[in-house]
Amino acid sequence: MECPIQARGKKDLLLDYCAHTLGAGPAAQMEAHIAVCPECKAWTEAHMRTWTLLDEWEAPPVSPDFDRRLRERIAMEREQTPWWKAIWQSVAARPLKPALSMALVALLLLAGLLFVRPRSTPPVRPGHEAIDAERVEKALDDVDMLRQVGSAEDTKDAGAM
Amino acid sequence: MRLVCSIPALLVVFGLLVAAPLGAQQPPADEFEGLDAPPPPGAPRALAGPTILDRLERMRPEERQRLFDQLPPERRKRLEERFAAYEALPQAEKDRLRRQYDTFRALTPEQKQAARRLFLRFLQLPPGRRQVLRQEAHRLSEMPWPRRQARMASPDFQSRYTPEERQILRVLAMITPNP
Repeated sequence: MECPIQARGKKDLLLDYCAHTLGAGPAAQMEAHIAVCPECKAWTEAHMRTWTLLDEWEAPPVSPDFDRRLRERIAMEREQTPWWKAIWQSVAARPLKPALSMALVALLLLAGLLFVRPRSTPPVRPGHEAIDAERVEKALDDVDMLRQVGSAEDTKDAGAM
Repeated sequence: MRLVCSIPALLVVFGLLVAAPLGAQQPPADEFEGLDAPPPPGAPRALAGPTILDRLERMRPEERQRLFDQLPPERRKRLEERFAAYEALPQAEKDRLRRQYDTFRALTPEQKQAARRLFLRFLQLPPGRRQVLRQEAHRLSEMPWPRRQARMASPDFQSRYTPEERQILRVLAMITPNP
C-alpha cells in the first residue's frame, strides 16, 4: 500500500481510519501499513490521543440563571444609552438618502401650504373700478339679461315691468 | 429608521391640518341667504354711484372710441351696436334698468353667477309661466318684508311653484324695483 502521508491527497484515508469509518478491507490494509511505517504510526497515535482527550473533556455546566442575567444585562445597556445616541446609532446604521429626500419634499410642501396663499384683491369702490372694453361688455350682458327678465312684453297684465 | 420615515409623514399631516381651513370654504347652502331681507337702517341695498355704463355715457366720443378699440374689430362693432341700443332706450326704461342693475351689482360674484343661472332658467320657461312668475315677483316686491316672507312660506306659494321657481322668484322679487 502506498503511504498516505507521502502520497498526495491520501491523508483523508488516515483520518477515516482514525474515525473508524473505513471499510473492513481498507482498514485492514491501513493497519498493516501503519505497522511497518513509523511516520504513519506516529501521526495516527498523535491523532488518536487528541480525539481521546476531546472525548474525555466535559464542558462546565451553564448556570441556571444564565438566560435571566443575560436579558437583564441587555436591558441595562439599553437604559444607560441616551435616547439621542440610540436614534443616531439606528440612523447611522442605515442609508439616509431616501428619508432625507422625503423630509425635504415634506418641508417644501409645508412651506408652500403655509406661505403661498391666494392673493386677495383690494376692494374696489363702486364707480371707481378700472373701465375697459371687457367690463363694458359684461355690464351690457347683465343689463340685457335684466331687460329680458323684466321685459314688459308678457307682463302687460301685471302692468309693472 | 421607522422614526425617520415617520417625520415627513407627520409634517405632511400637520401641513394639511394647517392648510385645511384655508381651502375648505364650503359654499353656503343658500347663495342668497339674507339678501332679500330688509337692509339694516341706513344701509342701502343697492349700490349707489355711477355704473360703468353711466361713465361710458359721459365719455367724450374719442375716449369711448379708444376704449372700444381695445377689442378685435368684430367684437368692437358688436359692442358699439349694443351700446348704441342701450343709449337709445327711453329714459324711463333706462331708469328702471339702472335700479335693477344697482341691486344686481351689489351681489357677490358668486351670487351674480347664481342669479344669471336662475335668470337663464327663467327665460327658458314657457311664456305663460314666465308671466305668472313676473306677476308673482311684482306682488312680492310690493309687500313689506314680513308679509313677503309669510307669503313665500305659505302652503299656497309652495304648491304653486317648483323649488327652482321659488328660487327664481326670490331673486326676481329682489331686483324688481318697488314703485
